[in-house]
Amino acid sequence: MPDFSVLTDYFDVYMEGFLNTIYASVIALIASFLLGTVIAVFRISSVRPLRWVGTVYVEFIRNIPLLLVVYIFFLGLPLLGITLNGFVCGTIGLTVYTAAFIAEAIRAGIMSVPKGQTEAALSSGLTYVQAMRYVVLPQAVKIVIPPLSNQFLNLVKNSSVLSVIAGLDLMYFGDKVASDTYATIDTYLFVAAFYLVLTLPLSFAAHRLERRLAKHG
Amino acid sequence: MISFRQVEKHYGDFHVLKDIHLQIGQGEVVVIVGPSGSGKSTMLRCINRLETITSGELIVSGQAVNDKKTNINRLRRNIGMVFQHFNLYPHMKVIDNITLAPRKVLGQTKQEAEQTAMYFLEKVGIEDKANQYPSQLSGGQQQRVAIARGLAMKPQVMLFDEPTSALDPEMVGEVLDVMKALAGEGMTMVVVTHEMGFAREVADRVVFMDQGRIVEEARPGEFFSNPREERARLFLNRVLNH
Amino acid sequence: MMTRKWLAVAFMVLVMSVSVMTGCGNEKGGNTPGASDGNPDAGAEETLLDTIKSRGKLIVGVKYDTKLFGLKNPANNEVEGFDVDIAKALAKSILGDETKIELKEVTSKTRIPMLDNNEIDLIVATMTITEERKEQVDFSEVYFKAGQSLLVKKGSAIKGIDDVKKGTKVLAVKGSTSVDNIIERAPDANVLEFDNYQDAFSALKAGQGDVLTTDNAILYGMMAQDPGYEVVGEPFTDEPYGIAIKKGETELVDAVNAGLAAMKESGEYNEIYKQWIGEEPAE
Repeated sequence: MPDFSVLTDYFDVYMEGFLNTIYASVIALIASFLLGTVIAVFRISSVRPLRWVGTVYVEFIRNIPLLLVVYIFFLGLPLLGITLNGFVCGTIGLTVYTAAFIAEAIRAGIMSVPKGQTEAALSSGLTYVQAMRYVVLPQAVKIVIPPLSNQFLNLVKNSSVLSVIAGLDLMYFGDKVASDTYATIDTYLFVAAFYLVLTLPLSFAAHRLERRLAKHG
Repeated sequence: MISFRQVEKHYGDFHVLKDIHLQIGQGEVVVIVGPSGSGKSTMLRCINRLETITSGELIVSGQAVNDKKTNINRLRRNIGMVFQHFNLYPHMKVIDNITLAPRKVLGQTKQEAEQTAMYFLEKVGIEDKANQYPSQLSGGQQQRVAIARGLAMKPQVMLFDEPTSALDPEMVGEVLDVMKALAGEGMTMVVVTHEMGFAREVADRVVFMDQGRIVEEARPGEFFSNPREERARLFLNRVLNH
Repeated sequence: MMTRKWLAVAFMVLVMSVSVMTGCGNEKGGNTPGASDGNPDAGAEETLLDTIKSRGKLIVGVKYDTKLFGLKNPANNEVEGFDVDIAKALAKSILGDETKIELKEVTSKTRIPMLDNNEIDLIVATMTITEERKEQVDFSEVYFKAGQSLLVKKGSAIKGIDDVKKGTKVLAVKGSTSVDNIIERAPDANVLEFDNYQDAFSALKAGQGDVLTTDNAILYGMMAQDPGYEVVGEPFTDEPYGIAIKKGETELVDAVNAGLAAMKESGEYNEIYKQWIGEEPAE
């Protein structure tokens, strides 16, 4: 039986972290989706330099640990005269990191839409961007939803990386409570419960969306 | 209207189009025939730059297709295209398939675009399918929607890339009928097909291609009764005698 | 059943071999302070100081892994640091020669048992004088004023704990008492906690905070690493380091204190302090 006083005595502390984790996740989720979409479009673009930028981005970011990406923003940016706090750096790092995976998921989705669709759209006079927006992406979405929701779940969990750069997230305060109370296991159990409060609904929503999209042609 | 001069195309080491010269005038119906792999579809797809040419000159409606200064999107509005596999947008209803380009490219209102769409759907004989999804239609119906979709942009020329090859035999006729009617109205058409009957009946001119070259170009009566080239004769023997 | 029996046997063998090995270690050492004349009981009246003098060698426990205080230099295998130099200076003052010394590695856990076992004469190993420890060992005078302090970028407006105010970003290490101490002394400060000292120092260097707080011994180590940073103000907690001596060896305590006093008098202490800590000792 876990020691619930670790939860009740420090509830405000957990809540501060919990809210910050939500903020960081929501911001990074939206931003990484937008950035990931742009990178994906770069990767399949017919313009070689864009394709090159997209590939370099994905291969670099995807192949280094998130922790390092976050450190680069937290410790590296100040070298360029830009000092942002742990929360901001962590959220940017999460965004940049997750965008690489989202770009790959979206690219795979786009590639799975038959080439004839783009050709039909282009030959009717739509621009490349319009063809993407009205014809290809809506079809890609269905294929992209499952891997994308995976990435979003990972993002929420990965937000715990903020704790190492004093990002004031749930994990940061969890560590703090654990070291204050020495009730390490109990504390982390409650921290896990808080994460589940966030991730389980997201997981259910993703499943429902998948089922709904599967129904419509 | 369309003019190929000394056009060459390479896919890496593969020489797809060799020294293509071809003039197509306003209102002409040109049918391109030839064995598969002869470069017919590639040549057709060069016209709206779904394929790029390696060298030579290709002019459509007075504009050099491969010139960087040419606004390709603007040029493509005037060139309708129908594909072998229809390429309807599966996530859109028939009506939306047709109105997408007029609305997004020509800036028509929804109402305006839908009126035009219904006009052409009637013309291809499936106005009752407007609110269905492509997957609910037969192949022949889908291809007729695709033709209506091309026409809705009121293009100056229509390109057909083997429009009946993916159809069950009993559906070929309904599509060809639509195309015949279109030709009768004076639409400029370039058609890649294996339907020799259609070529004979509708074409102003038949172009025979083999191994990336235009081997023979003739009026259909002449081409079918008395081909000049040996390769054309062999080809006709093969396709007509079964 | 059989397995359990065998396990028990194996365990006994293990325990025995460990005790034999440690026993061997003692014997091989041959210079165990209490056993120097081969008969510990015979030296009952002899003080430890006498033993040291007759042995002609001071055996000192120092740390081998602590930056600035006692660290084994991998390049030459020498143990170097503030504690080591203090120990050598004591050898000189007691035996007249700073080379008449033997260093033994201790850790926070092993140092008191080793002292009790007569394996070492003195502990000079970043050991804080506490009431609790005073019941186990005797301490010399304070030879290093350790305590929690502040590290800042040189030229910072923060000169001491009183300058840490509301909005000051204080960097610390998670789960350390230094967090509690700083919150007590500067309740309005914005404390940001990191997983380890390296991360906290990197964050300070990156401008992610205004001051870093922890034990000054660690801060001096960081200062040695990057001279662009300095320790400011007096320690605001009191954790004085003392030299520990086996309980009851008053003569040795006096000798050590005399040695320390002489070092301070001659300026040798200041030299050693400056060499390792990087600044003059505060008066």
